[in-house]
Amino acid sequence: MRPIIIITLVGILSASLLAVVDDLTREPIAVAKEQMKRKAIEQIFPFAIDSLNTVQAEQTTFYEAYNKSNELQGIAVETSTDEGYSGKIEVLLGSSPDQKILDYKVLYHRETPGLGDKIDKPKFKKQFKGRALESTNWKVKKDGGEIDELTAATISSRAISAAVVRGLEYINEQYPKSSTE
Amino acid sequence: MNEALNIFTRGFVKENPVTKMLLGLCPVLAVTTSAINGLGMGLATTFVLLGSNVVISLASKAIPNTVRIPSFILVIATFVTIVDLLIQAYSPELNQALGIFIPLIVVNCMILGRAEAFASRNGLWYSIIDAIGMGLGFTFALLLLSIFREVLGSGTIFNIPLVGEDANTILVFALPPGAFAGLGLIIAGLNSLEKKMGGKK
Amino acid sequence: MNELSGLLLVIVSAIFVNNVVFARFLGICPYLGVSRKLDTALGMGFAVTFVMTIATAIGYVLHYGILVPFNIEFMQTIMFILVIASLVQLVEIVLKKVSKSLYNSLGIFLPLITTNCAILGVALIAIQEEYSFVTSVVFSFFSSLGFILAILLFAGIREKLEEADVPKPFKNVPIGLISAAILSLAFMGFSGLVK
Repeated sequence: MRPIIIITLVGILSASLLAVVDDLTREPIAVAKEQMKRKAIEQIFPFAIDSLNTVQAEQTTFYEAYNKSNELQGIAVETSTDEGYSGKIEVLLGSSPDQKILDYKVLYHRETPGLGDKIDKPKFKKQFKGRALESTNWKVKKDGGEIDELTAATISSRAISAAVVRGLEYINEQYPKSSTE
Repeated sequence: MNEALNIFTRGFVKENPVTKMLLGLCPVLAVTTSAINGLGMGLATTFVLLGSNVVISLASKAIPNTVRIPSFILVIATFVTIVDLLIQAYSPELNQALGIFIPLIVVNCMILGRAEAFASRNGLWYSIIDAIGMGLGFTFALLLLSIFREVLGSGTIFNIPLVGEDANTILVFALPPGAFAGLGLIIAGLNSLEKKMGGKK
Repeated sequence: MNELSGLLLVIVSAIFVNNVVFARFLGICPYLGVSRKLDTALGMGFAVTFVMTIATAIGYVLHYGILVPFNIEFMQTIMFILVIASLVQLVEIVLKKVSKSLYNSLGIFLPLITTNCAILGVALIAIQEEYSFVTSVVFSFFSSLGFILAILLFAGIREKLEEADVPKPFKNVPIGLISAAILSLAFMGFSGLVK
């Protein structure tokens, strides 16, 4: 009988201690998550952000960035693709209010280090700046398009293009052209 | 004092959990892609080891033999959860880098091993020193491997770049094979160093 | 059909591309310490398969059925490890009755399955990747097969290594790790397989 009592006691003590710690850390954890998001968004926008408005839509989440005078400076959207060389790639795409790409950041990927992982390097990302959904041929050059693919990482390059396109489509759906111009 | 020093150095050198006793290898191989990650994992594990050694050294006499191991596991799991929550709250980047290996500290055989072999049979003070010695020994091994892998594999150290942006690094060290090979080389290196220094005292 | 091909992807990935030992770095301790005797190694492997699959299944139910609804996700580590420890106890009891010889030859390695990071790791990954119940079970089952593959390969290599002329500092563990490195490199070749 005694062993059972002891271990139950240990169990109860552990659970209670953890409940307390969990309670104490809930807010700091939420704050930390927010800050990570904020940092990522700040990285893709070339301007200073005063406030951020999060819009939770059915398919994804949008972040509207406003400056001090409360003017919309940019829209960030979470997008992804499953067509990476090693699977899922998650991207945070930032566009101007008139839906031209400002920059993007790869949030998650398992592409080959040294090859596919260059999709997050400035050299590769540069070519996406300023592009708009309709005016670009999003295929890689190998496939007759405008996107300069990475050497020996065509699949990763195609995947990023797909993710970027999806992101722009999300933005286009959520913010039909007339409302943001 | 001599005894305390003995216990401390034992965890660091003679019975280094990683290089000599081969305990807790999973995180060693997985998180040592960068020195910061190695350091973070080492310190987190040391925290858990310290907490569990303290509690178990104080409480072990009150725990009946039949429920020893489950109780020890409960205690260890509790500290692991605490450090997990703390890291999530105060160092989210480390959380992202270490991933599931933080909760996996609970199955780091080094911790249960110390609890069983030492903390449950020794006083509080010695258990604390043992935890610090072993924990730092573990951290040291992690640092060794992660600096090796980070410098050769990514060309940086503690995220400070050592080579130009486009320089070619020996990528394989940042990848799984490099982890195995790196650890193998380090252990072999330490073995031959030990032989040269006259073997075990 | 799409569901099935999705599962096939998970299976191939679990055994080869994201092999538990060579890619995810889980289960290293038992991997290095595995017996050279084929039947003991296999016995261990099957015990791991049993525990891994059931632990993941129970973990799934626990997580989505209790932890999340009651907002006590912080209890995950404790609950999962308790489930694993209990399952291992179960295996010990059953094995003792059913095959005393296997029980004896496995010796201390049987209770050590509890600390096999591969089991807890796979259960946690299934939750992290937000797999469905079926996918979780398939994932864990085939991950364990990948584990068995790894220890079988290593058990075979070990035998050859014993007879080879290995430089002294490399004897035993270091050369084992180097061969693991080569195996891991080989398995990396699978990474383009899953598209």
